[in-house]
Amino acid sequence: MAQVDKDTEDNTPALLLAEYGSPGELLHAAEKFRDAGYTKFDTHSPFPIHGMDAAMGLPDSKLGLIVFPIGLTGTTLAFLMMWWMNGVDYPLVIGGKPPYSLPSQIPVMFELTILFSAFATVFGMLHLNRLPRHHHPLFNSERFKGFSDDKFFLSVESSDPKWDLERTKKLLESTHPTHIELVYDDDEGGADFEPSPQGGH
Amino acid sequence: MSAKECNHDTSKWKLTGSWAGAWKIFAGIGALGLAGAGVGYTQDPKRFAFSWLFAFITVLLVGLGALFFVLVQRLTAAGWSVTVRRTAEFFALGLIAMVPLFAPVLLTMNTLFPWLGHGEEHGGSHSSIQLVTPAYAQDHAPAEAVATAEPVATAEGAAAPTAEGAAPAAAKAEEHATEHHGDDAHGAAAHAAQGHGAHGPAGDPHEIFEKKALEKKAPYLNKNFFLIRVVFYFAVWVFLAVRLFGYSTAQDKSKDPKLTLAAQRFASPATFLYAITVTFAAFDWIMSLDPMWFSTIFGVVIFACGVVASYAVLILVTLALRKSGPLDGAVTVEHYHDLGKLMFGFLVFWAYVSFSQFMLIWYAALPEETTFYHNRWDYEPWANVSKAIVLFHFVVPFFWTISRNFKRNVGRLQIGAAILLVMHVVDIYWFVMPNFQLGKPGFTFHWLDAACLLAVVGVYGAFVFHRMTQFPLVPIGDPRLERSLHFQNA
Repeated sequence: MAQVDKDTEDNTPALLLAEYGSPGELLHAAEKFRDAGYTKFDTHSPFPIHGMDAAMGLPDSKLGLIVFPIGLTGTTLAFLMMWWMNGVDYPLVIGGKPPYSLPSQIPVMFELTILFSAFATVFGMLHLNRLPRHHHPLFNSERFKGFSDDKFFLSVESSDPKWDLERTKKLLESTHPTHIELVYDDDEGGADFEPSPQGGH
Repeated sequence: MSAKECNHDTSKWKLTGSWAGAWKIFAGIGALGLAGAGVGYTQDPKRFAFSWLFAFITVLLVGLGALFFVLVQRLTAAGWSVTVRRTAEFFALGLIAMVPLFAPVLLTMNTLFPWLGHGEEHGGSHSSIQLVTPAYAQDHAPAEAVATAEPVATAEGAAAPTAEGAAPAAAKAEEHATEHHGDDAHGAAAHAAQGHGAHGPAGDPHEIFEKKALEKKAPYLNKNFFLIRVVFYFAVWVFLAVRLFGYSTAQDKSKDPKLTLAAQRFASPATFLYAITVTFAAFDWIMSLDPMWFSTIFGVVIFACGVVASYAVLILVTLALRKSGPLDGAVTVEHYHDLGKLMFGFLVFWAYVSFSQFMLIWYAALPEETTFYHNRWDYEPWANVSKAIVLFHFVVPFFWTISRNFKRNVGRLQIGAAILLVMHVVDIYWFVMPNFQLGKPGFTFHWLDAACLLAVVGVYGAFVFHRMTQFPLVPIGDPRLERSLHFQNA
């Protein structure tokens, strides 16, 4: 790591990208990286591949742990709201029912549970996926466009604790990809712009 | 993955070993139950009628739920469920066994259904809620009866219809106010006593009102039409079950993919027939036990009961068969995960429609609609049974199976399915048995209830498990079998 840090920014690739011709090859490549202890790698394919979660060693989604308590918060909040409004603050007899009656609250409790759960699901998903994010180094690769057509990719990020350019590259080569590419992050480094000797834009 | 293709031994998916004789055990249970039910019939024919109907509906819904499962798999051209579909097909085919088991219901129908005209004994005690005021009854009474009461009735109006009726009517108003919070048994007893006192000269106002309402319902609720519908329901169910079973087993030998397409085409009109028959059978056989009461969503509630129960049965039976060998390798945790999801989903659906029915009736508070819940919430033991159903047919199984990991934990799912199956029995008991002595406290469990349940479960189980020995337990000719065997939840 320290050695890498000493290098100039431009020489540190953001990630290594390998291209495969079939989902089976990608699956086995993912298994190899999982077994080698990599955690910051991802696979990209035009369609979902059954068994990929296990092949990548992905843990269960934490989304449920976010949604469940927030959903219950919705239930409780609806109950307290209706109880306070109908039972305490402004008791009002409607339809000959007691001012505070549980059956009339249940639809509200149900709806607020759904509403809170839906928000928790969407925003929790965005948070877990670190979205919204406007750019990713992957899109600097011309070849990568094939991931939405007929190509299969595995990308390893250089921030992975196991990252070592030479060894990672060797491991990638052992999975028989059709192509390996170093991808640089030109977003923060300003490589989008022609570096000018004067140093000003 | 593809190398594994066709290396499994299809001959092992047969009912052999410890389960091959299961049908004999079921037959034994059925014979015992039938003997008990027969003895019970000679002792207490009325109790037998209700006990048998409860047992019949409980088991019938498991078969109908299984039929629904097969229909949905065909409708959606599902690949994942192929290995568990045959088990459901066996249970749906078991509907054949339900046809002779309906005979005792026909035998006792005059006792069961008050609208058949032999229910005078039900009339007076029919509902303990005052459906009409004595004044209303007099206004709508036959002419000669009104004539005798005219001097008092017209002069004093609704408040005091007759001299003799005035005092109890006033007392009744008080009673009504306290009844909800008071001692139930006492309230009901006092109420019943007043019912007599409140008789106007035209007779019991309840009876007059009920008679009129039933006359209006007679074009539907009459003996001949009822019997025609019975024949229609069973004809449809047996036809659907046999046809779907036939497509599947014919494919075992021919391996013809066209049979899959034929079954899929058949499933769409079959679903219409299924929905109509299940809804109206629920109206005919359960709702009309109390012919004054009605709920349009009732058929859906009963349908939801059956679907949840049949998922529970499907999970329990495939788990048992997998453990002892016959379904080993065919049904995986992925299938249980999906069955668990469906059971959970329909559990929530059951709660949703059940509560919707309650909510609308509670909200509108129309006397002829509230009787259903009045009889089940204001009397012991039904009040406690109702609470148990809310807790153990919804709250506990809901949280027990809510997580993905809970459903994939097969042992945990098994417990959830067992709870739901037991609660299905309780639920149907709760639907049927309060009609045994409607609006009266003091209902107790009777050994006939258990005997009838054993009889029906035994006969149905013997039929289903005997069929299982005759055919492969997995549709070995299905073109989607491989996909199902390697199925994974994404």
